[in-house]
Amino acid sequence: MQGMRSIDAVLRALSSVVSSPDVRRGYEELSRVYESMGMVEEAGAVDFLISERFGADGPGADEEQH
Amino acid sequence: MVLTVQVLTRNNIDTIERCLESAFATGGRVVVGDLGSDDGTDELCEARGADVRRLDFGGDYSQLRNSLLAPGRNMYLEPWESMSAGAGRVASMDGSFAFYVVQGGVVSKQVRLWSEGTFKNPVFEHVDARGDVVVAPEVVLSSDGAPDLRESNTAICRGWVARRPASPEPWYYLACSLLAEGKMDEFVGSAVKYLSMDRSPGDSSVLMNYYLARVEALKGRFDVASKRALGCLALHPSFSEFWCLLGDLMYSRGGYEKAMSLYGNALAAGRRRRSDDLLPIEVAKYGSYPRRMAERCALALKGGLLVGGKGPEIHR
Repeated sequence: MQGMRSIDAVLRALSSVVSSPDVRRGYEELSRVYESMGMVEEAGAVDFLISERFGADGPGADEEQH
Repeated sequence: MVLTVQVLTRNNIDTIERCLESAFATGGRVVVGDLGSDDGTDELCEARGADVRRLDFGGDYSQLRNSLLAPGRNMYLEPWESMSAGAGRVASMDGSFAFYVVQGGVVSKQVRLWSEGTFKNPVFEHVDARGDVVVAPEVVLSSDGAPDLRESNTAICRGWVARRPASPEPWYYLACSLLAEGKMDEFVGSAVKYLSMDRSPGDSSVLMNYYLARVEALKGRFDVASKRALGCLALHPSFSEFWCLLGDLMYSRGGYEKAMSLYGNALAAGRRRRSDDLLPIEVAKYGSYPRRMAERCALALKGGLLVGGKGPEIHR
């Protein structure tokens, strides 16, 4: 049951990313969810995406990128 | 340790020569099981020095392949395959290895060289290798196609399902065979059945969900397809195939700006994908496809007419 709730949390965060794929905050939340579940590799993949899409030290985390 | 390379053939005269060259380049002995060639394939194999055995097809490829196994290390090649890299390296490899197989723009990793293990799948060449399997990216097989050797894989799978209806594995391979034959409605039924029976979902479930999502999208059932694609992506966020599919779904709904961004994720995420995972890689989804689709999105956003050219794959 715990595992199912966790996957639900990933799916919620991922849905947010897909519905607003230009918003950095959604990716950061997704990375946090993965980390909280111990899915280190998946979190790393999302962090990589953030750095590729928005730059590691890019504009404010909550700003939309266009 | 002696290496035996086995090849099952039936009327493969156009490709067998290159296959045999690869087989002998490994330094191993070559055993050919011929299922009734009448185009000279078997004679050519004998002329090249292979040990040719004439076999009767009994509806189960694994039994035929197991009959060709020899003590020591074993390896198999399909008669339409050749080694584009690493043939000389095989002689020094000890243990069980998965090689890269490139076919039609899809890269998969398959166990092809093993020290202990047997074939267990009546349709597809799945080796049940004992111990750890190491992916050897330096060995690459190129495939010209995958014609049936003797009988429709779907027919064999139906028999397998009839013998083991409560086991998920036959349903998985029946679904794959139906998909390969373009029988989409039956594919959906078998795939859903497989997923409902699989008690320990792993990579096979992810792959099946992805194929299902693509078929659902083709049928215009975008919500179902999105749900399945999200489930795939949740487990593998670095797989460009899944980002592309979500981009396709967004594109199909006219969400060009978001689709363009999702295709951008496909381009970016793919650079991180591990090369040693055992799921197939659709090469185009890591470069040319999302790039082309992103350009198409940009054109649509500028009010350009999307006439001609290739649209998303999920459009018929």
